[in-house]
Amino acid sequence: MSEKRSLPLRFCLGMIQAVSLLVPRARRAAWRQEWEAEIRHRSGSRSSAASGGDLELVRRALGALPDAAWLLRQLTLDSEILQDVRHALRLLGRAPGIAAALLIVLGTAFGAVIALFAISDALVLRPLPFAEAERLVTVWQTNPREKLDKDDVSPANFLDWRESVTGFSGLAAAIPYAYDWLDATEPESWSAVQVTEGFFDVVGARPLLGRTFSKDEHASGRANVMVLTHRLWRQHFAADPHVVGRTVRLGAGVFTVVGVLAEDFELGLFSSGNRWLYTPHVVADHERRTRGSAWWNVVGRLKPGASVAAVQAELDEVSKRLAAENPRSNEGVRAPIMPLREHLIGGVRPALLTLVCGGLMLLLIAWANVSGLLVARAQARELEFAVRASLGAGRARLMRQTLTETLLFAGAGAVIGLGLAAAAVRALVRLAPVPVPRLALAGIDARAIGFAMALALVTALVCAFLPMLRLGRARLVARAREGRALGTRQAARRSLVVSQLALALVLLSACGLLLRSVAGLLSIDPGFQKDQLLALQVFAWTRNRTPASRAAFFEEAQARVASVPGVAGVGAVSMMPFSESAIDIKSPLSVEGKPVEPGSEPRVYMSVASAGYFDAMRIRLLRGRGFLASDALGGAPVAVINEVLSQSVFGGEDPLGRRLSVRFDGQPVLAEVVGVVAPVRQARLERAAAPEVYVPHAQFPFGSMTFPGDLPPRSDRPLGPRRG
Amino acid sequence: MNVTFTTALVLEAIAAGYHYGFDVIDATGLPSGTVYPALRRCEEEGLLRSRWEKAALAHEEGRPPRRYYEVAASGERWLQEARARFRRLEASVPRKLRPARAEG
Repeated sequence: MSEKRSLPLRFCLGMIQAVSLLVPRARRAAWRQEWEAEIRHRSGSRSSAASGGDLELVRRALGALPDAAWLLRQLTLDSEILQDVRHALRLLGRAPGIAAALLIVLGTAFGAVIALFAISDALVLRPLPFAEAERLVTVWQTNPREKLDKDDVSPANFLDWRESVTGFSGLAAAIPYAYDWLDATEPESWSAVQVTEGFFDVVGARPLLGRTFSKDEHASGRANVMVLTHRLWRQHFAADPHVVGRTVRLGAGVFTVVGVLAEDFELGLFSSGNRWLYTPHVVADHERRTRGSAWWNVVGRLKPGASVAAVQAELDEVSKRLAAENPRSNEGVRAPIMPLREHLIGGVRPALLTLVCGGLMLLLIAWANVSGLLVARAQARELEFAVRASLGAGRARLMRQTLTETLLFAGAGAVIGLGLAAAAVRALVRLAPVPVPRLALAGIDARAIGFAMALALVTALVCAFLPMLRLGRARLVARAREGRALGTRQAARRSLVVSQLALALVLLSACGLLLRSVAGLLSIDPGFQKDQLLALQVFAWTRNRTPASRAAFFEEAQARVASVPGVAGVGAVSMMPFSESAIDIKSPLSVEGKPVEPGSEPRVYMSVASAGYFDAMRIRLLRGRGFLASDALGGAPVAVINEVLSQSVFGGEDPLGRRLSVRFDGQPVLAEVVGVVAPVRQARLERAAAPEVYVPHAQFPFGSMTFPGDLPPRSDRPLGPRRG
Repeated sequence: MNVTFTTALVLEAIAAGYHYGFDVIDATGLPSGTVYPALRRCEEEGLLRSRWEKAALAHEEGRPPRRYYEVAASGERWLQEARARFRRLEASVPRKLRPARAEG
């Protein structure tokens, strides 16, 4: 064993020793031994033919360099990041106050912004669940009498449009309806949609199960089929996959289920919230003539290539022709087209925009806040950075440290924010005071989580910017051994504080204004006692075909509701104020002794009310009396008017004892005014009450009535409110 | 882990009975700066196992023990897959690797 080493061998071993310094310490000894053993084994067995001499040996030994570099890259990168994270956590533990402040600020701001994203995503960003939804439009009609730009459509007008306008590949109507479900132990009312022929083709909805309606099912006598919404299917049919073919007993007869709609099918055509089932509509003869009252909702699909403007022009022509042919009902009535998406989000856009602006401002404030805190912290850690810099830590390394810390905060903030947002969205969806189409689809899903991650990343970059700027100076500070003027830094921090304050002020004043208008709305007296009120709508046309039986039915129903324990007072009315599915009847009205030209009488709200209605709603009686049991069918017709009507028709005169002509069931009826009540706002808090005349149900036996029930405060309500 | 031709070749060489780093370099003809990182990666992924050669043998030659590599069970499976993927692998493996299974 001669220890005489050749020059190449010595060179190789020396190089291995030098290169081994690159290898992370934990693996250094083993690494060096491996290379040394190979080299010395090779040089020792020089006789082996495989070796290519000294040159080959050196060449091979040089391969140790890439090997060591590979190990270095592999091991250090991981561990440095781990180190950074560990270091950041340690610092967090040392300053829990700042950490908590940072997390609270970031968490709340992220929560608000993520919740807003989730809602905007559901309402605006996500595509509508209909094939080629950009060709879908809604068609409305204007109502010049009440100065409405967008009113529901009358049946005859719809039928004429469908026949005459060529720009649609399909036009269909959806008609709000309700069925009584009789299979359950207690009957339930299901709000439904009756649709005209081809409705599902127009909207381009494919059913999840079964089929939609065929053409002949829109013919009289074949219409007892129904398509379930996904929700009804899940809640009342336990998502039964074999539901197609089952029969269901509804008030109007026995219906067969032919299909189930997909989960995301929510048309949002109606202001009245969710609908549970679809049935085919059979166009009745009288509907072909009905232009005066409008309650249909029309949806159309433009032909490929047809523009909204062109079809609108065509519709305008048809509207003109209809106005000329039917001046009484159609004078000045236009048919505006509105793209479906516009219809769905148009109403919520201002509110959404306000919210998004508020959310962004909150985010900016949070950024300013967090930047300020981080700068302050960086200042406190100046010495640490200075020492690390002087020990050889590069600027990039220190920057990475700062960024890691900020990312850690932002990530934790995003997690907190997601939690808050989930709660906020759930609360918002549940509390939505008015039905907002597609709002129920909002939730924290993968898209929201992705958004939160992006938000955290951007936040980390933004908030790490200022503290990172200081890192360049850390070396200087170290060199200067502290105690340098801090002028520029102070300026940066001051501007942060100022901008933060300015933003907060703007947000605060905006909030104040918003609160004031909400408080203003809340302080408006709607004209009735709105607390502790439950409403129950009943449709009794199909099983009570004569006026007398309808009068008797509602009289008995009211008596039976009144006997339910916990109900303090009950009445019945055709048009329940603020109800989602109020049925508003309009009647031409004239006063006996004040002749007007026929056809030019004012049309006013006419509500059919039972004796007891004014008491149950606590509507104040200003003069005269309300309805009595003696106002019965066959007796002299009576009416109660609201103060607005009293003022506009009678001015200063005494209305009591005067007789009004109203129209009921197509017939003019003369009714004596027996009372005046305080005005009740009909549909919207901010809109003043319109003239309204009340007639007693016993004399005007209407078939669709709502029972408002007055509950004493804090009773354990025997009747649960059911939201459809 | 990525099925690269280099890795496949290195594993193939070890499976064929070339258990030491420099022998693998000889057998494959690849440069040492390529073979060693490949060995490290394979070991990290569990495709290879390694241990030190018996100290007595090394002592006799007056050098440290060499590192002895062998293909682990998962490496065998990996190799099967790689062989299927590189249809031409067998053909491009230097001839002497093929019949050399008896060695080791």
